[in-house]
Amino acid sequence: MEEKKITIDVFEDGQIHATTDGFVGTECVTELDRLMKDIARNVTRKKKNEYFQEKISNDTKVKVKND
Amino acid sequence: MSCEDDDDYGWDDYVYEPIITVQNIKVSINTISKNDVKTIEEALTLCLDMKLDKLNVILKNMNVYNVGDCLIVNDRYRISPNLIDIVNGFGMKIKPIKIEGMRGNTYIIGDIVTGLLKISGVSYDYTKNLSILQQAVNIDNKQLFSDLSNRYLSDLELVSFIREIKREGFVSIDGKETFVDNESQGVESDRYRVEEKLQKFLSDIRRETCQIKKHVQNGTIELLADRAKKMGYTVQKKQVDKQIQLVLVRND
Repeated sequence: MEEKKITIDVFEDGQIHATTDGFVGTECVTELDRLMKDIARNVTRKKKNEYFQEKISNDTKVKVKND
Repeated sequence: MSCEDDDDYGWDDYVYEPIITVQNIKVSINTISKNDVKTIEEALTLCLDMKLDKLNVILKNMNVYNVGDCLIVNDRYRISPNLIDIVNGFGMKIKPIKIEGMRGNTYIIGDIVTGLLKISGVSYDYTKNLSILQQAVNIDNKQLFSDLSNRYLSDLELVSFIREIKREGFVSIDGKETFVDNESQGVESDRYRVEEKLQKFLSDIRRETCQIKKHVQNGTIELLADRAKKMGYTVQKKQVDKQIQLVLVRND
């Protein structure tokens, strides 16, 4: 199980800072967009190294052959 | 003629009697100016605009009606069970109510700002921030908030002062000026009491508008926490200096 963590700081002047951990690739942007939709405007993003990594998925498929 | 002869002329009987006159006058008080009232109205309107702009994120999915100074919100499909926490976070008042013909959860929402604006005779226009349904709502008036800024509105003197300032630019009260031998002895009036009352009103309004930032911050936190929970995160909230921090964790 992968832990995905988002830390959000909401300041008194209305600014919202969010950092993500455990996300790979563009997943973090999609997740933050869902979370902040209509709540945060004028968004600026600073991409971490993980953003440029590709998500590796292990899909185990079993083929059953009936001879 | 000697000095003693003066008695014959009655000088010893002479009693000095000052001429005292009292004149009714109008005393002008400029503790709050017309411009101050305008600034107060603009600041209060902006406060509610900011709250509703954020709150609309959730209200836009519900049926919203305007009754008096309050909003009737019908969450027909119970999509937001945390609405009470969110609205309270914004420093607004909310209570669940029952309205015949409305399914799901129905609430009445109000804000002290609408009451404060009423003091100067302004009605807040909810339609500029929210999509309000025009349908008439059959609601028992007792269910509406009656205590929104009642402490000010019930003070008819204050209400009339504020409206007079808005109209004339100052408050004019009755006073009495006493003259002794045409020399003014000062003015007797309620000036200090009225000035103190206006000053207190002004500082109360300032305090209210200062709290808005805190309310918007708390409301935003509640909105984010509500959405995060719906997205499957566990939410932890903590105060770090002046900012509030949310830590969202999800195990995929």
